[in-house]
Amino acid sequence: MKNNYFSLSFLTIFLAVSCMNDDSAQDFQKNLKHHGIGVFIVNEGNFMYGNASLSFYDARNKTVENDIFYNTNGLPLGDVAQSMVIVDSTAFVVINNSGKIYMLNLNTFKYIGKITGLTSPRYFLPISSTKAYISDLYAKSISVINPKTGFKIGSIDVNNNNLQFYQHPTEHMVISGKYVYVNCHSFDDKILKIDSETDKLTDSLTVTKQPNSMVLDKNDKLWVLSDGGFPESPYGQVNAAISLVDLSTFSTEKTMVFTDSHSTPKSLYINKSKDTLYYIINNSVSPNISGVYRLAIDENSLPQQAIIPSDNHLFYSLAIDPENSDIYVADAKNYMQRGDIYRFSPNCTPIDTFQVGIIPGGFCFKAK
Amino acid sequence: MKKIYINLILCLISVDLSAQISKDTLSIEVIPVFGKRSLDDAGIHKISIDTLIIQQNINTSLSDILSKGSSVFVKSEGRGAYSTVSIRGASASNTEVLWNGISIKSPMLGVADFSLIPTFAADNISLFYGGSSLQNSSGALGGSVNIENYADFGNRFTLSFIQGIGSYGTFQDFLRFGIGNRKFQTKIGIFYNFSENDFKFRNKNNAEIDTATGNYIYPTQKNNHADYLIFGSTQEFYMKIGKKTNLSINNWIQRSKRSLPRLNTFEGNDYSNINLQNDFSERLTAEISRINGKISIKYRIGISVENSSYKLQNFVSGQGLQNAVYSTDTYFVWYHKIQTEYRFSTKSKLKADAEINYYQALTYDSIKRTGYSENRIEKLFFISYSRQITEKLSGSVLLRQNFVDNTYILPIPYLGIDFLLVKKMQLFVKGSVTRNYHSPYLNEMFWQPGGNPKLKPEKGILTEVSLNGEFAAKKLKNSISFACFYSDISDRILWLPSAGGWWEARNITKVISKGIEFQNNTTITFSKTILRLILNYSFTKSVNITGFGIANDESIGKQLPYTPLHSINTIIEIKYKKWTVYYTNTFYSERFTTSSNDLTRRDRLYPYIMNNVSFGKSINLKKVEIGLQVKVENLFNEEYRSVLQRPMPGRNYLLLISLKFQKQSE
Repeated sequence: MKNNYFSLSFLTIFLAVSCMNDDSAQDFQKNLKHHGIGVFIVNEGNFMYGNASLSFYDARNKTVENDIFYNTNGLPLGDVAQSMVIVDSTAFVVINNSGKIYMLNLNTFKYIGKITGLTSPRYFLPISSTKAYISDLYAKSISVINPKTGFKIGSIDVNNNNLQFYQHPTEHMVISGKYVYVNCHSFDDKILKIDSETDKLTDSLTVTKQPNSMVLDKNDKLWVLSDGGFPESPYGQVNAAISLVDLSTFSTEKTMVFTDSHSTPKSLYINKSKDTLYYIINNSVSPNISGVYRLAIDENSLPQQAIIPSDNHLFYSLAIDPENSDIYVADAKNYMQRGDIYRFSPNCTPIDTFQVGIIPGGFCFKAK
Repeated sequence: MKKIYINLILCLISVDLSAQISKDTLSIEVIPVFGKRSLDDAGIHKISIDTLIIQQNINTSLSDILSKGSSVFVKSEGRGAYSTVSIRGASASNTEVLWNGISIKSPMLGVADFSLIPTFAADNISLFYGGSSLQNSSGALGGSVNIENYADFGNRFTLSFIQGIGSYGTFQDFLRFGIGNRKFQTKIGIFYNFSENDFKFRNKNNAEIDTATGNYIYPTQKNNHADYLIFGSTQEFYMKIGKKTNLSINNWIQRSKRSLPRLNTFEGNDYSNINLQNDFSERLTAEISRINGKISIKYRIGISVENSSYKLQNFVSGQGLQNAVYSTDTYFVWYHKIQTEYRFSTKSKLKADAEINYYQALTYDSIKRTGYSENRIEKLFFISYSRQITEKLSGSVLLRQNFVDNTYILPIPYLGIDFLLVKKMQLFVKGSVTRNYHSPYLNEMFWQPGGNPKLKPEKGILTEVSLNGEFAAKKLKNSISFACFYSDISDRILWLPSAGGWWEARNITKVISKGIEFQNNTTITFSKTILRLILNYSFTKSVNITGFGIANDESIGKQLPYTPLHSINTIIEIKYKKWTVYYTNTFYSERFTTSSNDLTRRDRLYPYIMNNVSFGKSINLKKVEIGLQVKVENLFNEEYRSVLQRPMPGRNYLLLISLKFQKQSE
């Protein structure tokens, strides 16, 4: 009888055998499609959740495929997808908090390689067929890599040796001639000038606090959008501003200041003809100010009226289709659910709305 | 044989409640105590974590005890890593944690890291669900976890020592000794817990491409940068002064040092993204109580000090490791509480308490130079009246009135009743209703940027009905509890993205949580064999009613993230002579990671089912009892997810050797 008790007890135990099938996340039929033209949406995902993703929108057919990296490769993209750049037939997707860049086949989205061992990469800028720069939030340097091999071939020291505020966190990069211009956003106010032939930092320019994005116009002048910091910041807060930088003299030509101190502008973008700027304003105190704004490069004052009011949306990022100047604007909602993309014609007529991944923060257009 | 099957089936479909006294896991005898119910218990739904569970997990943290011994949801980021506890679908900040009557939650963060709370020196751990927590504290909209120590005045000398050696470079030492007589007792505890925690795992979230075949090669990696060290000491002093007065002093001092592991998607520089956290805490309480006829008075004073630092380090060429974040949180809390009780008769009593707590908090990031320094004064008042109305019916009314920094918080009322259905089985129907308020924490009000000094308290209307019973037969002892609850929580405080781009604390959503809880504890004795079966089950439907006030919000009507609908915990213990087999199974149904409950294969947190088993043998050598125990965690060596993209250990082992000596007064 005693034996019966024990055998029954052990039977009970082993009946409770677990059935967590973790391999189901990898073992499924992968996406094998080839894709035409369209726009990639880089969804950051939540910090420390590792739920970043890529979406692909076919603008002609108005169809969207979400999670294309995962569905094609059976791998999560990583933690905080920051940006994406296309070089020839390869897409480089920068995964900030995973310290790596995935290289994808542009047509199949198959993962073909990766650049690893980075600190906190933000943006990727191709310089030549054998050289590219990677900006970095924490490395205090810009990595120089060979995009063909993915190997690091050097680095550009941007350290100002100021321990306070951990300056210079490098962000967006634009190239004009042989010089690369880099903005330093968080607790910083500098535009760095780098010689891409020598890979050396040659100069820096002070602009309005916290420059968060920048673009080159048709006159080869640099437009810099600064958010001015946050209230009671120990670094100080000033009103946000747009600065125009003459690259020939590397000096500020004009600065247009936002009059409302609660306005936080971001996502400066330029159209294909490089004569019209677009940006987002979010305003915590006067939500009716929030929306998408447009500014011609020859204007001398900032527009007062949004071309696309945000209503009850929290606009997070913006892009202009280089082919037809359609406006794409992302709503990240509460950051804890999938975001929406709103597509408008250049005259702001709604064209389409589609749902993407969590915190859509970047766009990358795939042309013919 | 048929009886055995029937008994087992009964056990598996029923559930438990009462405190079981089995102080010593190495002894065979387990005696369930079906105590007389206190007048204070009217409507109260609480469980004491079975001492069997505490003793079997004496080398673990409170998060392990609760995940293995109750159906509350424990969200753990990995072995030895940060973990929080949610009760009844409320947020982790709505779970109060009391140690000998004082809160040990951070007044800044509003949560306690349960992985840092050792339990080896706890004499009792109990869970108060929902409004029942108002007996001890206010603001715990989910419930409270109470850790208590007490003296055994019959003890002359006790010494227990446990040494543990386990997988992944794990070393544990626990020493506790007590000495005293019928008037004075002292207990000293010392603990040390270290683990390299560098388990290997197959990383399926990173893959190399095999150049020959094009197939993926998943690397086998070590869980680097995940080591932890926790050590400290507890001191307890208890004294009887005359026949009516008792004095107790409890002190708990602890230091911990942990590396916080990266996600398994990380492939960056190994000298970057290094996260380190150090914590130091000391808690001290002194309590004097006096019972004089119908009146009893208790005065408690306590302090709680904590200093935490967090560093994010990256390698900078030419400078080595540099801090990108170096934040320190320091707080000091001074507690005063006076409790009075007047017994009109054995059938009614009145209680009145007054409490003044002073908080001082400082947080500072020396890199970004952000932070705040704030003080807070809480004045808390409590009055309750309990009465046995008839032989079968008793009731309790309670009122709390809080002032936080001289801000008047609406009164917190509570009404609870007990009705005895079947005396022989001590089968009670209990019911309670309350309106509770939870004041915002200091970070929620003052964090830079995003703190919001204008936050309102969270409000919860909490109701529940439960059925509780205990019965015993010749070879069978059983206790059972079945509860239904309904909680309406409004003005929830959440961190949401602001127009400025930073996170901002706001009162935003309304949540309805409803569900059932079921507990059963069965002991069957057959000659020299004792079989224990414990089952805990919770069904929690916790739904966001209002959403976040944004366009196209898909969160409305959805289950809250990281709130499983079903949570089941099963324990089976078999003792035969000096041998013990102890098995636990913890189950959580699927958890969502987004407020809109999106289901993706990539981010799916499929049902979590974890099996652990231990084998023990005790040997008595005169007055010394030697115990040997082998614990096997993750019995079936499964690859699994608990939260997204965190590596989890496979099957791992721990050998515990214990020595115990006890001498009681004549």
